[in-house]
Amino acid sequence: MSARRGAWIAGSAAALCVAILFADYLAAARRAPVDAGQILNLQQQTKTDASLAPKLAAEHKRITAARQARRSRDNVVAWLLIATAAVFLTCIKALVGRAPGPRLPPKPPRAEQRPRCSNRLPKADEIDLAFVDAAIAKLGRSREAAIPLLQAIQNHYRYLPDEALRRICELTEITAAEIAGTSSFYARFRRSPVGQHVVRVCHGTACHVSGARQITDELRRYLAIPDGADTDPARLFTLDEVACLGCCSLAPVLMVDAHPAGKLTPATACDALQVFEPDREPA
Amino acid sequence: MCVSVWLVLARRSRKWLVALSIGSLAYFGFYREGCICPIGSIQNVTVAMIDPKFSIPIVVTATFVLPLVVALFFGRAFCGGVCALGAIQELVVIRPIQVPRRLDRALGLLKYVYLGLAILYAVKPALTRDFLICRFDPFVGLFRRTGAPHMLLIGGVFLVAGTFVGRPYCRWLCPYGGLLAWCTRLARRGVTITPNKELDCGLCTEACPYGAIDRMRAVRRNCLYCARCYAACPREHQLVQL
Repeated sequence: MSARRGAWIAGSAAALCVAILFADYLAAARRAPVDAGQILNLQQQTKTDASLAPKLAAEHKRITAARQARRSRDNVVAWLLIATAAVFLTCIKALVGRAPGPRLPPKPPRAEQRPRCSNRLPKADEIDLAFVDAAIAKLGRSREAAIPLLQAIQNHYRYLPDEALRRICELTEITAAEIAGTSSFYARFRRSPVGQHVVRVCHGTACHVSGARQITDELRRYLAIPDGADTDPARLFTLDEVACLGCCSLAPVLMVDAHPAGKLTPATACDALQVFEPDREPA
Repeated sequence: MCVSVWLVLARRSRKWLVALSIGSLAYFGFYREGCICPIGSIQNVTVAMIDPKFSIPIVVTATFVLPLVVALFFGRAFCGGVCALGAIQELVVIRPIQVPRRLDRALGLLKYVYLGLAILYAVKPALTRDFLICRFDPFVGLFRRTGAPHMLLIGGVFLVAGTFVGRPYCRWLCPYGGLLAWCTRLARRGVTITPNKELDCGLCTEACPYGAIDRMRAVRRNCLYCARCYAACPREHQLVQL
């Protein structure tokens, strides 16, 4: 990883520069009183002995030269420090940017690029009705068996196919009106085919106030679910708005099949679906 | 400054704003060696108002007034791409943490204390007058690559702290920031998180190192025009991609 190596090199160079500057400062700070003392001494002596004047001037010159040298040296080191610090920052930022920070959602595929309805779910006439016959034989033909029958059918086909319902009407005492009434009354029963995974987005109070609506909208956009439908064209995900999933502390929350994902943002909600992405058909 | 306003409000481009910051840092910081800056000009202007003998060049007055005028209309655009002290701190931000709001607000009061002290010392008679802001400017030593060791040390500490806490000097100490914050109350346009365009997803709140996005809306007096909110917005990315 070149950014990491760059950061190390630049960081140690910057630290070295700081150390040099600091050492230089310490040395100068220790040197200053000594020099001052020497000058003062010479000045005192020059007052009595004029022959020492050139020595005093030389000493002055030496100290000035040393200070100027230190100044220019420190200036160079300071520029080096600034440059290395800039390189260090650039490398570190590259590293941090690569680390899992606030991730951006991948570009959602456009609707027309997505697979059209693949007919992977069997059509009504392809449905094997042997299961319905077996269930009726097991659960009975009376009106009381309506709900257990519907439950069995829903468990088996994951929705209530029209064909299966018609079969119930043919074989039992239950009327079509009763089936229609019961199956539309309970929210658990669904009449349209379901996707491979069911995404339940919680719309309870806590999730609602923390943006469940935005998450649902973003998921619909991401999956290209048409208005009025609840399943994406590839029939991979069915989006369901539910009342409460019972974990308000994670709001806003959703469940993909049995896997909950909480504290979502519209972007991370799309990520939560990507765990199941291998199931998605290639576009 | 106009460029800064344009980059942030019209282009919503963080990349170009960083380039502008680097340019400002190089010119106002290292080339002009941190002088003259509007922060210090508070004192010059104050003294000029008090002392008729003290005259200041028109450039100083302009540097003092212009950012305030811009702030009246657009918010603290000066802080974002022009101020050298801001730029050096802006560039060292690596992984900012969110400072608790209360602490942030309490520390924010310090800058008004500092402003008061600076004016107090500046209006003193000429001999005892002292320009506090310039004397305790933590970064000017770095720009000049020389200075009192303790100020250099403080500057270094500010920068190191600045890698984790976004722009500590600007938010809590900068006296000019206090003046700008007052001006932004009248600003008609500024950085906004618009309810209709964005998703209310909160990514911008997490991206803002300065705690300037409160309940998904930009707080104009704290906003330092860094455009990180726009850089972090998935909606912006979508708009750019499409």
